[in-house]
Amino acid sequence: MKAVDRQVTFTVVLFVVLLFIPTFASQYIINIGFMVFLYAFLATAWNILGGYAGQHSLGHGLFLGIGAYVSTYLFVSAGITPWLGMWVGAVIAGVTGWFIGYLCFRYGIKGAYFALVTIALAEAAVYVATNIQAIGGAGGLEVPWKGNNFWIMQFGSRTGYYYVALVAAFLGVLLTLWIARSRFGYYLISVRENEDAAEALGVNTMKAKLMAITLSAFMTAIGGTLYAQYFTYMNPRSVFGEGPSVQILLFAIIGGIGTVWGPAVGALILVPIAEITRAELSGSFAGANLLIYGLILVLVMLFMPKGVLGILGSLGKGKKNSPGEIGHEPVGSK
Amino acid sequence: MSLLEVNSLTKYFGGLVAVRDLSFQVEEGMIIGLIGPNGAGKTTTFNMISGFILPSSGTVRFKGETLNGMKPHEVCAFGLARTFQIVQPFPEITALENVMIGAFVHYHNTTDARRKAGEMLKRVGMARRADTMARDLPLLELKRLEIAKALATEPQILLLDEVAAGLNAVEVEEVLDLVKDLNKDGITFLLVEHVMKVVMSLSHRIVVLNFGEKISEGTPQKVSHDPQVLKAYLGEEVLVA
Repeated sequence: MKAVDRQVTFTVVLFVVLLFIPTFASQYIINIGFMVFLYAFLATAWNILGGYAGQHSLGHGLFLGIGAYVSTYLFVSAGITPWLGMWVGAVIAGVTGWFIGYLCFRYGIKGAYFALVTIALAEAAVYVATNIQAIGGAGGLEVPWKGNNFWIMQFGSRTGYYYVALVAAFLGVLLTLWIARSRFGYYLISVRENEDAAEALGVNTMKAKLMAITLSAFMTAIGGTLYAQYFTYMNPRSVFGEGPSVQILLFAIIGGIGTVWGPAVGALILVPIAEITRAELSGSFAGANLLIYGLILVLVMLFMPKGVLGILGSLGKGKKNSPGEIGHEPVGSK
Repeated sequence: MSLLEVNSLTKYFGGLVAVRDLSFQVEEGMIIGLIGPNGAGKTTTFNMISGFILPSSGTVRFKGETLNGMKPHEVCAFGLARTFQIVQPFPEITALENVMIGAFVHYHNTTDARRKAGEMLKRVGMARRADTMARDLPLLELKRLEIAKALATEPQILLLDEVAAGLNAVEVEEVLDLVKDLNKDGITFLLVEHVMKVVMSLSHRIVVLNFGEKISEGTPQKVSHDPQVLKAYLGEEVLVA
Protein backbone atom coordinates (compact mmCIF):
# COMPACT_ATOMS: atom_id res chain seq x y z
CA MET A 1 0.00 0.00 0.00
CA LYS A 2 2.79 2.38 0.90
CA ALA A 3 4.34 1.99 -2.52
CA VAL A 4 1.07 3.07 -4.08
CA ASP A 5 0.86 6.16 -1.94
CA ARG A 6 4.39 7.05 -3.00
CA GLN A 7 3.43 6.63 -6.61
CA VAL A 8 0.32 8.76 -6.18
CA THR A 9 2.39 11.43 -4.48
CA PHE A 10 4.91 11.31 -7.28
CA THR A 11 2.16 11.64 -9.87
CA VAL A 12 0.61 14.63 -8.14
CA VAL A 13 3.96 16.37 -7.70
CA LEU A 14 4.84 15.77 -11.33
CA PHE A 15 1.46 17.16 -12.34
CA VAL A 16 1.97 20.32 -10.34
CA VAL A 17 5.47 20.80 -11.76
CA LEU A 18 4.18 20.38 -15.29
CA LEU A 19 1.51 23.01 -14.61
CA PHE A 20 4.28 25.61 -14.41
CA ILE A 21 6.08 24.71 -17.61
CA PRO A 22 4.03 27.08 -19.82
CA THR A 23 5.01 30.07 -17.70
CA PHE A 24 8.49 30.03 -19.21
CA ALA A 25 8.47 27.59 -22.13
CA SER A 26 8.12 28.54 -25.79
CA GLN A 27 5.04 27.68 -27.83
CA TYR A 28 7.16 25.09 -29.62
CA ILE A 29 7.88 23.26 -26.36
CA ILE A 30 4.27 23.62 -25.29
CA ASN A 31 3.21 22.07 -28.58
CA ILE A 32 5.46 19.10 -27.90
CA GLY A 33 4.12 18.98 -24.35
CA PHE A 34 0.56 18.77 -25.62
CA MET A 35 1.44 15.94 -27.97
CA VAL A 36 3.28 14.05 -25.23
CA PHE A 37 0.27 14.29 -22.91
CA LEU A 38 -2.26 13.45 -25.60
CA TYR A 39 -0.35 10.35 -26.70
CA ALA A 40 0.47 9.41 -23.12
CA PHE A 41 -3.25 9.50 -22.42
CA LEU A 42 -4.16 7.51 -25.55
CA ALA A 43 -1.46 4.91 -24.94
CA THR A 44 -2.55 4.66 -21.30
CA ALA A 45 -6.08 3.95 -22.49
CA TRP A 46 -4.78 1.30 -24.91
CA ASN A 47 -2.66 -0.19 -22.12
CA ILE A 48 -5.69 -1.08 -19.99
CA LEU A 49 -6.91 -3.44 -22.68
CA GLY A 50 -3.63 -4.35 -24.36
CA GLY A 51 -1.20 -4.25 -21.46
CA TYR A 52 -3.24 -5.38 -18.49
CA ALA A 53 -5.88 -7.59 -20.09
CA GLY A 54 -3.45 -8.77 -22.79
CA GLN A 55 -5.88 -8.19 -25.69
CA HIS A 56 -3.81 -6.40 -28.29
CA SER A 57 -5.97 -4.07 -30.31
CA LEU A 58 -4.41 -2.76 -33.50
CA GLY A 59 -7.49 -0.73 -34.31
CA HIS A 60 -7.81 1.88 -31.60
CA GLY A 61 -8.10 4.46 -34.33
CA LEU A 62 -11.72 3.36 -34.50
CA PHE A 63 -12.38 4.77 -31.03
CA LEU A 64 -10.18 7.81 -31.59
CA GLY A 65 -12.17 8.58 -34.72
CA ILE A 66 -15.51 8.14 -33.03
CA GLY A 67 -14.47 10.61 -30.35
CA ALA A 68 -13.15 13.14 -32.87
CA TYR A 69 -16.09 12.90 -35.26
CA VAL A 70 -18.91 12.78 -32.73
CA SER A 71 -17.86 15.82 -30.71
CA THR A 72 -17.01 17.80 -33.84
CA TYR A 73 -20.22 16.87 -35.62
CA LEU A 74 -22.29 17.87 -32.59
CA PHE A 75 -20.36 21.14 -32.38
CA VAL A 76 -20.69 21.97 -36.08
CA SER A 77 -24.27 20.90 -36.61
CA ALA A 78 -25.89 21.72 -33.27
CA GLY A 79 -23.47 24.05 -31.53
CA ILE A 80 -23.00 21.61 -28.67
CA THR A 81 -19.78 22.32 -26.82
CA PRO A 82 -17.05 19.67 -27.18
CA TRP A 83 -16.97 19.51 -23.40
CA LEU A 84 -20.33 17.75 -23.69
CA GLY A 85 -19.82 16.16 -27.09
CA MET A 86 -16.70 14.53 -25.70
CA TRP A 87 -18.79 12.42 -23.32
CA VAL A 88 -21.30 11.54 -26.03
CA GLY A 89 -18.45 10.31 -28.23
CA ALA A 90 -16.94 8.43 -25.31
CA VAL A 91 -20.22 6.65 -24.57
CA ILE A 92 -20.71 5.73 -28.23
CA ALA A 93 -17.13 4.44 -28.42
CA GLY A 94 -17.58 2.55 -25.16
CA VAL A 95 -20.71 0.83 -26.45
CA THR A 96 -18.96 0.08 -29.75
CA GLY A 97 -15.99 -1.37 -27.87
CA TRP A 98 -18.25 -3.44 -25.70
CA PHE A 99 -20.04 -4.80 -28.76
CA ILE A 100 -16.79 -5.67 -30.56
CA GLY A 101 -15.52 -7.31 -27.41
CA TYR A 102 -18.73 -9.24 -26.96
CA LEU A 103 -18.56 -10.62 -30.49
CA CYS A 104 -14.87 -11.51 -30.27
CA PHE A 105 -14.69 -12.88 -26.75
CA ARG A 106 -18.00 -14.72 -27.02
CA TYR A 107 -16.48 -16.79 -29.81
CA GLY A 108 -13.07 -17.13 -28.22
CA ILE A 109 -11.26 -14.81 -30.62
CA LYS A 110 -7.98 -13.75 -29.06
CA GLY A 111 -4.32 -13.08 -29.74
CA ALA A 112 -3.45 -12.37 -33.36
CA TYR A 113 -7.05 -12.99 -34.43
CA PHE A 114 -8.36 -10.33 -32.10
CA ALA A 115 -5.73 -7.93 -33.46
CA LEU A 116 -6.86 -8.71 -37.01
CA VAL A 117 -10.51 -8.13 -36.20
CA THR A 118 -9.71 -4.73 -34.69
CA ILE A 119 -7.64 -3.72 -37.74
CA ALA A 120 -10.46 -4.77 -40.03
CA LEU A 121 -13.09 -2.84 -38.12
CA ALA A 122 -11.01 0.34 -37.95
CA GLU A 123 -10.33 0.03 -41.67
CA ALA A 124 -14.03 -0.52 -42.33
CA ALA A 125 -14.74 2.66 -40.37
CA VAL A 126 -12.51 4.59 -42.80
CA TYR A 127 -14.76 3.57 -45.67
CA VAL A 128 -17.99 4.06 -43.79
CA ALA A 129 -16.95 7.59 -42.79
CA THR A 130 -15.80 8.31 -46.34
CA ASN A 131 -19.28 7.54 -47.57
CA ILE A 132 -21.26 9.59 -45.09
CA GLN A 133 -21.66 13.04 -46.59
CA ALA A 134 -23.14 14.47 -43.40
CA ILE A 135 -19.73 14.22 -41.78
CA GLY A 136 -17.86 15.51 -44.77
CA GLY A 137 -17.16 12.25 -46.58
CA ALA A 138 -13.61 11.93 -47.85
CA GLY A 139 -13.08 15.65 -47.35
CA GLY A 140 -13.36 15.29 -43.60
CA LEU A 141 -14.58 17.73 -40.99
CA GLU A 142 -13.17 21.01 -39.84
CA VAL A 143 -13.63 22.47 -36.38
CA PRO A 144 -14.64 26.08 -37.03
CA TRP A 145 -12.74 28.70 -35.06
CA LYS A 146 -15.15 30.59 -32.82
CA GLY A 147 -12.60 32.52 -30.82
CA ASN A 148 -10.72 31.98 -27.62
CA ASN A 149 -13.36 30.48 -25.34
CA PHE A 150 -12.80 27.90 -22.66
CA TRP A 151 -16.43 26.77 -22.75
CA ILE A 152 -16.12 25.49 -26.30
CA MET A 153 -12.61 24.10 -25.71
CA GLN A 154 -10.95 26.59 -28.04
CA PHE A 155 -7.90 28.48 -26.96
CA GLY A 156 -6.03 31.37 -28.49
CA SER A 157 -2.67 29.90 -27.55
CA ARG A 158 -1.40 26.35 -27.30
CA THR A 159 -1.19 26.69 -23.53
CA GLY A 160 -4.90 26.02 -23.04
CA TYR A 161 -4.70 22.75 -24.94
CA TYR A 162 -1.56 21.89 -23.01
CA TYR A 163 -3.48 22.08 -19.75
CA VAL A 164 -6.44 20.07 -21.02
CA ALA A 165 -4.18 17.27 -22.26
CA LEU A 166 -2.11 17.39 -19.08
CA VAL A 167 -5.21 16.87 -16.95
CA ALA A 168 -6.30 13.98 -19.17
CA ALA A 169 -2.91 12.26 -18.93
CA PHE A 170 -2.78 12.89 -15.19
CA LEU A 171 -6.19 11.31 -14.63
CA GLY A 172 -5.30 8.44 -16.97
CA VAL A 173 -2.20 7.59 -14.95
CA LEU A 174 -4.08 7.88 -11.65
CA LEU A 175 -6.76 5.56 -12.98
CA THR A 176 -4.12 3.05 -14.06
CA LEU A 177 -2.48 3.26 -10.65
CA TRP A 178 -5.80 2.42 -9.08
CA ILE A 179 -6.45 -0.42 -11.53
CA ALA A 180 -3.00 -1.92 -11.00
CA ARG A 181 -3.72 -2.38 -7.30
CA SER A 182 -7.39 -3.32 -7.45
CA ARG A 183 -9.25 -6.57 -7.82
CA PHE A 184 -10.23 -5.45 -11.33
CA GLY A 185 -6.58 -5.01 -12.26
CA TYR A 186 -5.56 -8.39 -10.89
CA TYR A 187 -8.43 -9.96 -12.79
CA LEU A 188 -7.22 -8.35 -16.02
CA ILE A 189 -3.70 -9.62 -15.39
CA SER A 190 -4.99 -13.12 -14.65
CA VAL A 191 -6.84 -13.08 -17.96
CA ARG A 192 -3.68 -12.03 -19.77
CA GLU A 193 -1.52 -14.59 -18.01
CA ASN A 194 -3.76 -17.64 -18.21
CA GLU A 195 -7.42 -17.44 -19.04
CA ASP A 196 -8.40 -21.01 -18.14
CA ALA A 197 -6.67 -20.79 -14.79
CA ALA A 198 -8.43 -17.49 -14.14
CA GLU A 199 -11.85 -19.00 -14.89
CA ALA A 200 -11.11 -21.92 -12.60
CA LEU A 201 -10.35 -19.47 -9.79
CA GLY A 202 -13.67 -17.72 -10.06
CA VAL A 203 -12.69 -14.91 -12.43
CA ASN A 204 -15.46 -13.93 -14.81
CA THR A 205 -13.01 -13.56 -17.69
CA MET A 206 -15.66 -12.45 -20.17
CA LYS A 207 -16.80 -9.64 -17.91
CA ALA A 208 -13.23 -8.57 -17.14
CA LYS A 209 -12.33 -8.34 -20.82
CA LEU A 210 -15.55 -6.50 -21.68
CA MET A 211 -14.95 -3.95 -18.94
CA ALA A 212 -11.40 -3.46 -20.17
CA ILE A 213 -12.34 -2.86 -23.80
CA THR A 214 -15.26 -0.61 -22.86
CA LEU A 215 -13.13 1.55 -20.58
CA SER A 216 -10.27 1.63 -23.06
CA ALA A 217 -12.54 2.67 -25.93
CA PHE A 218 -14.29 5.26 -23.76
CA MET A 219 -11.00 6.92 -22.83
CA THR A 220 -9.59 6.74 -26.35
CA ALA A 221 -12.63 8.62 -27.67
CA ILE A 222 -12.02 11.40 -25.15
CA GLY A 223 -8.51 11.62 -26.57
CA GLY A 224 -10.16 11.82 -30.00
CA THR A 225 -12.05 14.96 -29.02
CA LEU A 226 -8.84 16.58 -27.72
CA TYR A 227 -7.15 15.62 -30.98
CA ALA A 228 -9.94 17.23 -33.02
CA GLN A 229 -9.95 20.43 -30.98
CA TYR A 230 -6.19 20.84 -31.26
CA PHE A 231 -5.63 19.98 -34.90
CA THR A 232 -9.05 21.39 -35.92
CA TYR A 233 -9.27 19.06 -38.87
CA MET A 234 -9.87 15.37 -39.41
CA ASN A 235 -10.59 13.09 -42.32
CA PRO A 236 -11.47 9.39 -42.23
CA ARG A 237 -7.91 8.23 -42.85
CA SER A 238 -6.30 10.60 -40.38
CA VAL A 239 -8.25 9.36 -37.37
CA PHE A 240 -9.74 5.94 -38.19
CA GLY A 241 -6.75 4.83 -40.25
CA GLU A 242 -3.86 2.58 -39.37
CA GLY A 243 -1.58 5.55 -38.66
CA PRO A 244 -3.06 6.59 -35.32
CA SER A 245 -3.87 2.97 -34.41
CA VAL A 246 -0.25 1.94 -34.72
CA GLN A 247 1.12 5.11 -33.12
CA ILE A 248 -0.96 4.63 -30.00
CA LEU A 249 0.34 1.17 -29.39
CA LEU A 250 3.93 2.04 -30.29
CA PHE A 251 4.11 4.42 -27.36
CA ALA A 252 2.82 1.73 -25.04
CA ILE A 253 5.17 -0.93 -26.39
CA ILE A 254 8.27 1.26 -26.32
CA GLY A 255 7.51 2.46 -22.81
CA GLY A 256 6.59 -0.96 -21.46
CA ILE A 257 3.14 -2.43 -21.70
CA GLY A 258 1.28 -3.65 -18.67
CA THR A 259 3.04 -1.09 -16.49
CA VAL A 260 1.48 2.04 -15.02
CA TRP A 261 4.04 4.47 -16.41
CA GLY A 262 5.11 2.68 -19.57
CA PRO A 263 2.75 4.43 -22.00
CA ALA A 264 3.56 7.86 -20.61
CA VAL A 265 7.29 7.17 -20.73
CA GLY A 266 6.94 5.89 -24.29
CA ALA A 267 5.20 9.09 -25.33
CA LEU A 268 7.76 11.20 -23.49
CA ILE A 269 10.59 9.52 -25.41
CA LEU A 270 9.07 9.17 -28.86
CA VAL A 271 7.06 12.34 -29.35
CA PRO A 272 10.00 14.74 -28.95
CA ILE A 273 12.18 12.52 -31.16
CA ALA A 274 9.52 12.51 -33.85
CA GLU A 275 8.98 16.26 -33.60
CA ILE A 276 12.63 17.23 -33.50
CA THR A 277 13.76 14.96 -36.31
CA ARG A 278 10.91 16.27 -38.41
CA ALA A 279 11.73 19.88 -37.69
CA GLU A 280 15.45 19.40 -38.27
CA LEU A 281 15.46 17.05 -41.20
CA SER A 282 12.26 17.22 -43.20
CA GLY A 283 13.49 20.30 -45.09
CA SER A 284 16.91 19.04 -46.14
CA PHE A 285 16.43 15.28 -46.27
CA ALA A 286 12.80 14.50 -46.95
CA GLY A 287 11.89 11.25 -45.23
CA ALA A 288 15.08 11.08 -43.17
CA ASN A 289 13.12 11.84 -40.03
CA LEU A 290 10.96 8.78 -40.56
CA LEU A 291 14.04 6.70 -41.22
CA ILE A 292 15.61 7.74 -37.92
CA TYR A 293 12.33 7.27 -36.09
CA GLY A 294 12.06 3.77 -37.50
CA LEU A 295 15.66 3.00 -36.60
CA ILE A 296 15.03 3.99 -32.98
CA LEU A 297 11.99 1.76 -32.84
CA VAL A 298 13.97 -1.19 -34.18
CA LEU A 299 16.77 -0.63 -31.68
CA VAL A 300 14.43 -0.39 -28.73
CA MET A 301 12.62 -3.54 -29.78
CA LEU A 302 15.91 -5.36 -30.23
CA PHE A 303 17.49 -4.41 -26.94
CA MET A 304 14.46 -3.76 -24.77
CA PRO A 305 11.73 -6.10 -25.93
CA LYS A 306 9.77 -5.39 -22.77
CA GLY A 307 10.01 -1.66 -23.27
CA VAL A 308 11.99 0.90 -21.37
CA LEU A 309 10.21 0.31 -18.07
CA GLY A 310 10.31 -3.43 -18.57
CA ILE A 311 14.10 -3.23 -18.59
CA LEU A 312 14.23 -1.05 -15.50
CA GLY A 313 11.82 -3.43 -13.78
CA SER A 314 14.00 -6.47 -14.39
CA LEU A 315 17.16 -4.60 -13.40
CA GLY A 316 15.52 -3.82 -10.06
CA LYS A 317 15.05 -7.62 -9.91
CA GLY A 318 11.56 -8.31 -9.63
CA LYS A 319 9.33 -6.81 -7.06
CA LYS A 320 5.63 -6.47 -7.37
CA ASN A 321 3.82 -4.26 -9.74
CA SER A 322 5.88 -5.20 -12.73
CA PRO A 323 3.82 -7.84 -14.45
CA GLY A 324 4.74 -6.70 -17.87
CA GLU A 325 5.54 -9.21 -20.53
CA ILE A 326 3.55 -9.53 -23.66
CA GLY A 327 2.96 -12.53 -25.76
CA HIS A 328 2.75 -15.14 -23.07
CA GLU A 329 0.44 -17.77 -24.49
CA PRO A 330 -1.64 -19.51 -21.86
CA VAL A 331 -1.34 -23.28 -21.83
CA GLY A 332 -4.80 -24.33 -22.87
CA SER A 333 -6.54 -27.17 -21.11
CA LYS A 334 -8.90 -27.99 -23.91
CA MET B 1 -27.63 -36.14 0.53
CA SER B 2 -24.22 -36.25 -1.07
CA LEU B 3 -22.17 -33.13 -1.57
CA LEU B 4 -21.55 -33.95 -5.22
CA GLU B 5 -23.75 -36.16 -7.35
CA VAL B 6 -22.88 -37.15 -10.89
CA ASN B 7 -25.84 -38.68 -12.72
CA SER B 8 -25.64 -40.47 -16.07
CA LEU B 9 -23.01 -38.07 -17.33
CA THR B 10 -22.24 -38.59 -21.03
CA LYS B 11 -19.95 -36.76 -23.42
CA TYR B 12 -19.56 -37.28 -27.14
CA PHE B 13 -16.77 -35.67 -29.12
CA GLY B 14 -18.13 -36.14 -32.62
CA GLY B 15 -18.70 -39.86 -32.90
CA LEU B 16 -16.37 -40.70 -30.05
CA VAL B 17 -17.82 -41.42 -26.64
CA ALA B 18 -15.45 -39.96 -24.07
CA VAL B 19 -17.68 -40.62 -21.08
CA ARG B 20 -20.79 -42.82 -21.10
CA ASP B 21 -23.56 -42.88 -18.52
CA LEU B 22 -21.27 -42.19 -15.58
CA SER B 23 -22.81 -41.93 -12.12
CA PHE B 24 -21.14 -41.63 -8.75
CA GLN B 25 -21.40 -39.62 -5.58
CA VAL B 26 -19.01 -37.83 -3.31
CA GLU B 27 -20.07 -37.52 0.32
CA GLU B 28 -18.92 -34.66 2.48
CA GLY B 29 -15.54 -35.18 4.14
CA MET B 30 -14.49 -38.03 1.84
CA ILE B 31 -11.56 -38.46 -0.47
CA ILE B 32 -12.77 -40.15 -3.63
CA GLY B 33 -10.37 -41.39 -6.29
CA LEU B 34 -11.18 -41.47 -9.98
CA ILE B 35 -8.82 -43.78 -11.84
CA GLY B 36 -8.54 -45.43 -15.21
CA PRO B 37 -6.08 -45.96 -18.04
CA ASN B 38 -5.13 -43.18 -20.44
CA GLY B 39 -8.13 -41.94 -22.37
CA ALA B 40 -10.61 -43.42 -19.91
CA GLY B 41 -12.39 -40.07 -19.63
CA LYS B 42 -11.16 -38.87 -16.26
CA THR B 43 -10.15 -35.36 -17.28
CA THR B 44 -13.25 -35.04 -19.45
CA THR B 45 -15.31 -35.86 -16.37
CA PHE B 46 -13.44 -33.19 -14.41
CA ASN B 47 -14.00 -30.66 -17.15
CA MET B 48 -17.73 -31.39 -17.17
CA ILE B 49 -18.05 -31.13 -13.41
CA SER B 50 -16.13 -27.86 -13.25
CA GLY B 51 -18.04 -26.27 -16.13
CA PHE B 52 -15.26 -26.17 -18.71
CA ILE B 53 -17.18 -28.35 -21.14
CA LEU B 54 -20.86 -29.03 -21.43
CA PRO B 55 -22.04 -32.62 -21.00
CA SER B 56 -23.90 -34.16 -23.94
CA SER B 57 -26.37 -35.47 -21.37
CA GLY B 58 -26.63 -36.19 -17.68
CA THR B 59 -26.40 -33.88 -14.68
CA VAL B 60 -23.99 -32.75 -12.05
CA ARG B 61 -25.48 -31.68 -8.73
CA PHE B 62 -23.51 -29.91 -6.05
CA LYS B 63 -25.02 -29.04 -2.67
CA GLY B 64 -28.37 -30.03 -4.14
CA GLU B 65 -28.16 -27.55 -7.04
CA THR B 66 -27.57 -28.53 -10.61
CA LEU B 67 -24.34 -27.19 -12.08
CA ASN B 68 -25.25 -27.81 -15.72
CA GLY B 69 -24.72 -24.70 -17.81
CA MET B 70 -22.82 -22.84 -15.12
CA LYS B 71 -19.60 -21.16 -16.21
CA PRO B 72 -16.37 -22.33 -14.53
CA HIS B 73 -16.09 -19.11 -12.55
CA GLU B 74 -19.62 -19.55 -11.24
CA VAL B 75 -18.92 -23.15 -10.26
CA CYS B 76 -15.83 -21.96 -8.42
CA ALA B 77 -17.65 -19.20 -6.56
CA PHE B 78 -20.26 -21.79 -5.59
CA GLY B 79 -17.63 -23.78 -3.69
CA LEU B 80 -16.15 -26.27 -6.14
CA ALA B 81 -12.53 -25.64 -7.07
CA ARG B 82 -10.21 -27.59 -9.34
CA THR B 83 -6.58 -27.84 -10.33
CA PHE B 84 -5.24 -28.82 -13.73
CA GLN B 85 -3.25 -31.85 -14.82
CA ILE B 86 -0.65 -29.51 -16.26
CA VAL B 87 0.06 -26.73 -13.77
CA GLN B 88 -1.48 -23.43 -14.81
CA PRO B 89 0.30 -20.62 -12.99
CA PHE B 90 0.13 -16.93 -13.87
CA PRO B 91 3.83 -16.81 -14.75
CA GLU B 92 4.63 -13.09 -14.68
CA ILE B 93 3.28 -12.31 -11.23
CA THR B 94 4.46 -13.44 -7.81
CA ALA B 95 3.33 -16.57 -6.00
CA LEU B 96 1.40 -14.41 -3.55
CA GLU B 97 -0.36 -12.57 -6.35
CA ASN B 98 -1.20 -15.89 -8.00
CA VAL B 99 -3.01 -16.95 -4.87
CA MET B 100 -4.64 -13.53 -4.49
CA ILE B 101 -6.50 -14.08 -7.76
CA GLY B 102 -8.31 -16.98 -6.08
CA ALA B 103 -8.79 -15.08 -2.82
CA PHE B 104 -10.57 -12.25 -4.63
CA VAL B 105 -13.64 -14.49 -5.04
CA HIS B 106 -14.56 -13.83 -1.43
CA TYR B 107 -12.29 -10.92 -0.49
CA HIS B 108 -12.91 -7.99 -2.79
CA ASN B 109 -10.42 -5.69 -1.22
CA THR B 110 -6.74 -6.08 -2.05
CA THR B 111 -5.53 -5.98 1.55
CA ASP B 112 -7.87 -8.76 2.65
CA ALA B 113 -7.09 -10.83 -0.42
CA ARG B 114 -3.37 -10.45 0.22
CA ARG B 115 -3.76 -11.57 3.82
CA LYS B 116 -5.85 -14.58 2.80
CA ALA B 117 -3.33 -15.47 0.08
CA GLY B 118 -0.50 -15.25 2.61
CA GLU B 119 -2.32 -17.69 4.90
CA MET B 120 -2.88 -20.12 2.05
CA LEU B 121 0.76 -20.01 0.97
CA LYS B 122 1.71 -20.78 4.53
CA ARG B 123 -0.82 -23.60 4.60
CA VAL B 124 0.92 -25.33 1.70
CA GLY B 125 4.37 -24.56 3.11
CA MET B 126 5.36 -21.85 0.65
CA ALA B 127 5.32 -18.71 2.76
CA ARG B 128 8.93 -17.92 1.99
CA ARG B 129 8.21 -18.05 -1.75
CA ALA B 130 5.56 -15.31 -1.59
CA ASP B 131 7.57 -12.80 -3.61
CA THR B 132 8.98 -15.21 -6.18
CA MET B 133 7.68 -14.94 -9.71
CA ALA B 134 5.63 -18.02 -10.53
CA ARG B 135 7.71 -18.66 -13.66
CA ASP B 136 10.77 -19.18 -11.41
CA LEU B 137 9.21 -21.91 -9.26
CA PRO B 138 10.11 -25.61 -9.63
CA LEU B 139 7.39 -28.14 -10.39
CA LEU B 140 6.78 -29.30 -6.83
CA GLU B 141 6.19 -25.75 -5.71
CA LEU B 142 4.01 -25.03 -8.72
CA LYS B 143 1.86 -28.00 -7.67
CA ARG B 144 1.64 -26.59 -4.17
CA LEU B 145 0.87 -23.19 -5.62
CA GLU B 146 -2.00 -24.70 -7.62
CA ILE B 147 -3.44 -26.10 -4.42
CA ALA B 148 -2.96 -22.79 -2.58
CA LYS B 149 -4.73 -20.91 -5.40
CA ALA B 150 -7.66 -23.31 -5.30
CA LEU B 151 -7.82 -23.21 -1.48
CA ALA B 152 -7.93 -19.42 -1.54
CA THR B 153 -11.35 -19.64 -3.18
CA GLU B 154 -12.55 -21.40 0.00
CA PRO B 155 -13.95 -24.49 -1.69
CA GLN B 156 -16.01 -27.18 -0.01
CA ILE B 157 -14.77 -29.68 -2.53
CA LEU B 158 -11.48 -29.68 -4.34
CA LEU B 159 -10.90 -31.56 -7.57
CA LEU B 160 -7.25 -32.46 -8.04
CA ASP B 161 -6.20 -33.58 -11.51
CA GLU B 162 -3.08 -35.74 -11.25
CA VAL B 163 -1.49 -33.75 -8.50
CA ALA B 164 1.32 -36.30 -8.12
CA ALA B 165 2.24 -36.51 -11.80
CA GLY B 166 5.85 -35.56 -12.49
CA LEU B 167 6.93 -35.63 -8.86
CA ASN B 168 9.49 -37.98 -7.34
CA ALA B 169 8.68 -40.38 -4.51
CA VAL B 170 9.60 -37.98 -1.71
CA GLU B 171 7.66 -35.13 -3.28
CA VAL B 172 4.62 -37.35 -3.79
CA GLU B 173 4.75 -38.17 -0.11
CA GLU B 174 4.77 -34.48 0.76
CA VAL B 175 1.78 -33.71 -1.41
CA LEU B 176 -0.09 -36.70 0.06
CA ASP B 177 0.45 -35.43 3.56
CA LEU B 178 -0.85 -32.04 2.52
CA VAL B 179 -4.03 -33.55 1.06
CA LYS B 180 -4.59 -35.64 4.19
CA ASP B 181 -4.17 -32.56 6.38
CA LEU B 182 -6.57 -30.51 4.33
CA ASN B 183 -9.08 -33.34 4.41
CA LYS B 184 -8.88 -33.34 8.21
CA ASP B 185 -9.71 -29.64 8.07
CA GLY B 186 -12.97 -30.59 6.39
CA ILE B 187 -12.27 -30.25 2.67
CA THR B 188 -13.75 -32.96 0.48
CA PHE B 189 -11.59 -34.26 -2.36
CA LEU B 190 -12.12 -35.81 -5.73
CA LEU B 191 -8.81 -37.02 -7.15
CA VAL B 192 -7.91 -38.06 -10.62
CA GLU B 193 -4.72 -40.05 -10.38
CA HIS B 194 -2.29 -42.09 -12.32
CA VAL B 195 0.14 -42.78 -9.51
CA MET B 196 -1.50 -45.82 -7.94
CA LYS B 197 0.08 -45.34 -4.57
CA VAL B 198 -1.62 -41.98 -4.23
CA VAL B 199 -5.13 -43.23 -4.82
CA MET B 200 -4.73 -46.43 -2.86
CA SER B 201 -3.34 -44.87 0.28
CA LEU B 202 -5.49 -41.79 0.25
CA SER B 203 -8.97 -42.58 -1.06
CA HIS B 204 -11.89 -43.71 1.00
CA ARG B 205 -13.53 -44.97 -2.16
CA ILE B 206 -12.44 -45.41 -5.74
CA VAL B 207 -14.31 -45.14 -9.02
CA VAL B 208 -12.67 -46.94 -11.94
CA LEU B 209 -13.25 -45.82 -15.52
CA ASN B 210 -12.36 -47.62 -18.71
CA PHE B 211 -13.25 -46.34 -22.19
CA GLY B 212 -15.54 -43.77 -20.61
CA GLU B 213 -17.56 -46.19 -18.56
CA LYS B 214 -17.54 -47.03 -14.89
CA ILE B 215 -16.34 -50.60 -14.48
CA SER B 216 -15.95 -50.74 -10.74
CA GLU B 217 -16.47 -48.77 -7.56
CA GLY B 218 -15.62 -49.45 -3.93
CA THR B 219 -12.93 -49.37 -1.29
CA PRO B 220 -9.31 -49.50 -2.48
CA GLN B 221 -9.12 -53.11 -1.31
CA LYS B 222 -12.23 -54.14 -3.15
CA VAL B 223 -11.33 -52.33 -6.35
CA SER B 224 -7.80 -53.61 -6.39
CA HIS B 225 -9.08 -57.17 -6.34
CA ASP B 226 -11.85 -56.69 -8.86
CA PRO B 227 -10.88 -58.94 -11.80
CA GLN B 228 -12.34 -56.48 -14.28
CA VAL B 229 -10.18 -53.70 -12.95
CA LEU B 230 -7.11 -55.86 -12.95
CA LYS B 231 -7.78 -56.83 -16.51
CA ALA B 232 -8.63 -53.40 -17.85
CA TYR B 233 -6.37 -51.16 -15.94
CA LEU B 234 -3.62 -53.01 -14.20
CA GLY B 235 -3.04 -55.84 -16.58
CA GLU B 236 -3.29 -59.35 -15.20
CA GLU B 237 -0.87 -58.76 -12.40
CA VAL B 238 -1.74 -58.46 -8.76
CA LEU B 239 -1.89 -54.97 -7.42
CA VAL B 240 0.62 -53.93 -4.84
CA ALA B 241 -1.30 -53.09 -1.73
